[in-house]
Amino acid sequence: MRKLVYLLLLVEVAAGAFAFFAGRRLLAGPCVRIGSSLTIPAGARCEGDALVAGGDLVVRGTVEGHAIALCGGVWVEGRVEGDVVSLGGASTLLSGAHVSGNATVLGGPLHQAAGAAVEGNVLETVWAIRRVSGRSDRLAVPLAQRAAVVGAAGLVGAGLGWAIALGMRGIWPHRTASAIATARSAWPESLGLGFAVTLFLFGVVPLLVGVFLRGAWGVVLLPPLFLALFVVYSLGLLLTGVALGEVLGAPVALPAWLRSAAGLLLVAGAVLLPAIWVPEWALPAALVVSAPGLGALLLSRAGTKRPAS
Amino acid sequence: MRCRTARRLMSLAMDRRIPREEESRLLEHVERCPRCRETWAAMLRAESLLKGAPLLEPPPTLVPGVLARLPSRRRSIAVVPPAWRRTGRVVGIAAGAVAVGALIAVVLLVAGWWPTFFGRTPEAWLGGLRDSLRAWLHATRPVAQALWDIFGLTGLLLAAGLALGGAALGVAFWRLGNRRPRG
Repeated sequence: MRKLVYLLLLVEVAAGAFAFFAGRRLLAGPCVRIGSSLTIPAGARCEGDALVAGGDLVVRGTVEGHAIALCGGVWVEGRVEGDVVSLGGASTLLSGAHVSGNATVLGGPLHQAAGAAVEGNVLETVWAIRRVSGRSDRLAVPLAQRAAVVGAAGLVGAGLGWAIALGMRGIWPHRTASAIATARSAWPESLGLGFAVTLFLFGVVPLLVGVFLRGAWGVVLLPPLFLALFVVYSLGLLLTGVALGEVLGAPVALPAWLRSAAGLLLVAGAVLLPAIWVPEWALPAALVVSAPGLGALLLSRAGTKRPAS
Repeated sequence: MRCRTARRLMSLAMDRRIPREEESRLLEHVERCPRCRETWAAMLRAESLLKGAPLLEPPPTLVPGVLARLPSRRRSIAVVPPAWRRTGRVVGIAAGAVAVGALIAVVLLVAGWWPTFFGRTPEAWLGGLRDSLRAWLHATRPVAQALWDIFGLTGLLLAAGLALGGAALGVAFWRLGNRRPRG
């Protein structure tokens, strides 16, 4: 039976890899970029929309559709036939820029030069925390500084996770113990189930987001959706860390609180260390590392069922 | 003294847990009442038998065996020491409050409402909220349209495939994870 579990895990990894490469191929359009900035040079033309996620969009040529930057800014020196939309970044319309639709900026200021023309509305909502620069600038920060920021984030995350784990053991001792025992005794099944849930959500969540973005009700429904995902995956990370600490700390007879702390520090390191070099890896790493904990949480029915011994 | 009271006092007297006066009254009743005398004598015999019996060391497998037979909720009681539980409750509630507070603070900061919340009239605050909603509506429609234009049917099929594949694998792992061990 264990062989079947490992075989299914292989199938799952293959499915995940296929989805990853298929997604990359799907996103490999000349006017689409994920995780880096995109420049449409002067004289070039985008036949449709230009979309950048996790980077800046620089339009020197012409975009026939909308020019959109998610978690980034839009810099327009050329012509945009549709809207200019920037979520989580500053946008700049230089002299000579022409926008046929609206210019909407959520999360940053909109700098509009005197000679820049916007035929539609100009809407600007400045968030208090602004994304300072694009990906290329983030990577230009010295390695030591990035390491210090990541290290501090890891320590704070692990510390908060440790305190919450302590609280969970205090408030729901039986449930927490059951979930940890499940993660330890049935780790391949937990890993497989957690990863399968992630694959499922990768299919469902974009569809839901697409539907929610089509109306004002998205404002109400999107935050709870992402909050729920955040809570579930945080619990998965936490349980993975505590279970890992139990496995590694039990042979050397470490006290329970130290075992949890060590496991959570390891998990924080596994998630955040790659982010020193490639910030975009933090999220996939977190999804993979949280899989055993998430699966154990489900298999133990949120800790109400003990694992079969 | 009534017989029922006397029988209740007998076991207490065996454990030396009643005052002397009470014990005297019990013994007076035992002398008078033949049924209670018989019961008292039987209890004394049992006690002397138990005292004379050799003390056996329980086998090492007894406690784990008993724990294994207990219902799951009872069994896990031994896993968490009470001190851990007491400390954890306080620390956990504090950490949960910190986490929730941090999350709310981040949401408020990101939404830009917090820095401008204090010192503003409710009308101005609501006006800011209305502007945010308008900006959201203006931003999301082109984003949704662009996502559909770019990813279209292929993206939809890929998403549906991922959802179905993930669900199928999830069911398989769920069944494997819940199977009963043989034997």
